[in-house]
Amino acid sequence: MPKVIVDRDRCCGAGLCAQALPQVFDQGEDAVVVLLEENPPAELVAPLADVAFACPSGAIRVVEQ
Amino acid sequence: MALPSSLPELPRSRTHPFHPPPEYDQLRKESPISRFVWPNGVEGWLVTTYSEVRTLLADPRLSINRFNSPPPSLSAIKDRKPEVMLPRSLVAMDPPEHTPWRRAIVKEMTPRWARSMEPRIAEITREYLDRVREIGPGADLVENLALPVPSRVICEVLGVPQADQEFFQEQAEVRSQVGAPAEKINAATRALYEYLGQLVTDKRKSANTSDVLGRLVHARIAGEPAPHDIVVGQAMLLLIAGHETTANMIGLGVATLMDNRELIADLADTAKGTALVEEILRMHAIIQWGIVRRATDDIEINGIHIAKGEWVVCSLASANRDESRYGCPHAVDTGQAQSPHVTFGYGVHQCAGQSLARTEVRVVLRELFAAFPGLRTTVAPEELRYRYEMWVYGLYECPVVW
Ligand code: HEM
Ligand code: SF4
Repeated sequence: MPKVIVDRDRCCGAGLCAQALPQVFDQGEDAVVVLLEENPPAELVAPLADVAFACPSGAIRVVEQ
Repeated sequence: MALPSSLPELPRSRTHPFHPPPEYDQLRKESPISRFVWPNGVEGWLVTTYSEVRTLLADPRLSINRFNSPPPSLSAIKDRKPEVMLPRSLVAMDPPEHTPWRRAIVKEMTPRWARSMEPRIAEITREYLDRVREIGPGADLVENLALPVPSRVICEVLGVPQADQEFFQEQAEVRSQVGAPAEKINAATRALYEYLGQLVTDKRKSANTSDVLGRLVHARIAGEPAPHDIVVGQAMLLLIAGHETTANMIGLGVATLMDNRELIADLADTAKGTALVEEILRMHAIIQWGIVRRATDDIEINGIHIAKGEWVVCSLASANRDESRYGCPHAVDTGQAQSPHVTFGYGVHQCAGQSLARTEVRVVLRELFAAFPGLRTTVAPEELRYRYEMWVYGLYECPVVW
C-alpha cells in the first residue's frame, strides 16, 4: 500500500493535488495542502506518482510500504 | 564600459508563429544549459530542457530578486535602471518572505474556486460575444473578447470598479511593450500605482471584505498587519499578470483551433475541453523568452558550474517541446496523458492564477465556438499579426468571420 507524505512548509498552495485526487488531498483555509488519506488504495499508485511529479514545490512524497 | 561579449546572441527568430525558434531544438540536444548574451548586453545561462528547467526553478539557490541590477532582457537599452520602483510583490520576494504572502493570495484562487467562477465567466463572455455579433464579420477578437473578458473577471475578483477597467487595459499594454520609451512605461506604472494606492486606502477604511483586495488589506501576514505599499504591489501584480497573459492565450487558442478544427467539439465537454486547453497551453508558453533568476550561491548541474551572482534564464517554451518528455512535441496531442507543461512556471512562484486562467481560456473558447460554430480567421492563422517582439507572446489582432 502506498503511503503519502506531505511537507506543509514547502507547499505553495497551487492546489494541483486536491484537483487531481480529491479523495486524497484537500486545501486548507490557508491554501496549504491537507492530507485526507495517508494510506490510499494501491490502485492510486500511478495517479499519486503523477501528482507528486506535478506538485510545483516538491511537497508530496509517495513511499511504498 | 563593459567589453563587448564574445558569447553568441540569444536565438529569437521564429520560423513559424506557433513554434519557438528552431535553434532551441538543437540546444536541447547539444547544450541544454549554455551561455548567451541578451540584446541589452547582459550575459547569462539559458536552460532549454524540461528536466533541467524544473530542477533549477525548484532550487532555493536561485532567487527571483533582481538585486537592483539589470537582468537579461530583450530591451536593447543597456543598463536601463527603472526610474519608477515597482512596489514589491510576490515576483520580487524569495521564501521565507514570499511564503505568507503567497498563501494569502493563492487561498483566494484555488481550483475549486475557479470552477465556481465558471458561470460568471460564461456570462461575461456572452456579453462580449453579443458585441462581436453587433460589430459583424471582420470583428477583432483580441480587442472585443480576449482582452476585456479577463480584465472584467480580475477587476471583479479584486474589487476594482468597472468604470476604471479601460484605464487598466491601456496602462498594462504600455508596460509590456518592448520598444516603448522608458518615460512612457514609467508614466503608466505611476498611474497604475497611484490609482491602486487610493483604492487600497479606501478599502482599508471600509470593513467590506467581500473581495480579494478587501481581504488582503485586512489580512495579517506572518502575524503583522499587511503594509500598504506591498498590498498595492500585489494588487498591481494580479491585475497585470492576469490580464494580458490570459488574453493572449485565448487569441492563440483560436488560431491553433483553426488548424485543428476537429478538436473544437471537445470544448463542449469539461474533461475533454480541459485536456485540450492543457495542450494549447503547452504549445504556447507565452512568457516567450523564459523566466529569469539569479544564483545566490554556486550551483553544479549536469557538470556545469553556475557561479554565485550569475543570471539563469529558464526557457518554458523550449521545455514544453522537449522530445524526451513529449511523443509529439510540436503538435496538439490530446490522445494521451502528457507530462505537466511549464507554461505557468514551476517551483514556489508557479502561477498563482493558473486555475482561473485555465477556466477562463476554456470557457471563452467554448462559448465562442458555441455562438459561432463556423468561425474562422479572415486570413490563414499563420498570416495573423503576432507579438514577436513582446515579452508576452500572442496576437495583436484576430479578425474573424462566421
Ligand atoms: C494563460 C495565462 C497565464 C500565464 C501563461 C501565466 C504565466 C505565469 C508564469 C510563467 C509565472 C511565473 C513567473 C516566475 O516564476 O517568474 C506566473 C506567476 C504569477 N501569475 Fe500568472 N499566468 C497566467 C495567468 C494569470 C492570472 C489569470 C493571474 C491572476 C489572476 C496570474 C497571476 C500570477 C501571479 C500572482 C504570479 C506570481 C506568483 C508568485 O510569484 O508566487 N497569472 N504566471
Ligand atoms: S500540488 Fe503541491 S504545492 Fe500544490 S497544493 Fe498540493 S502539495 Fe501544495
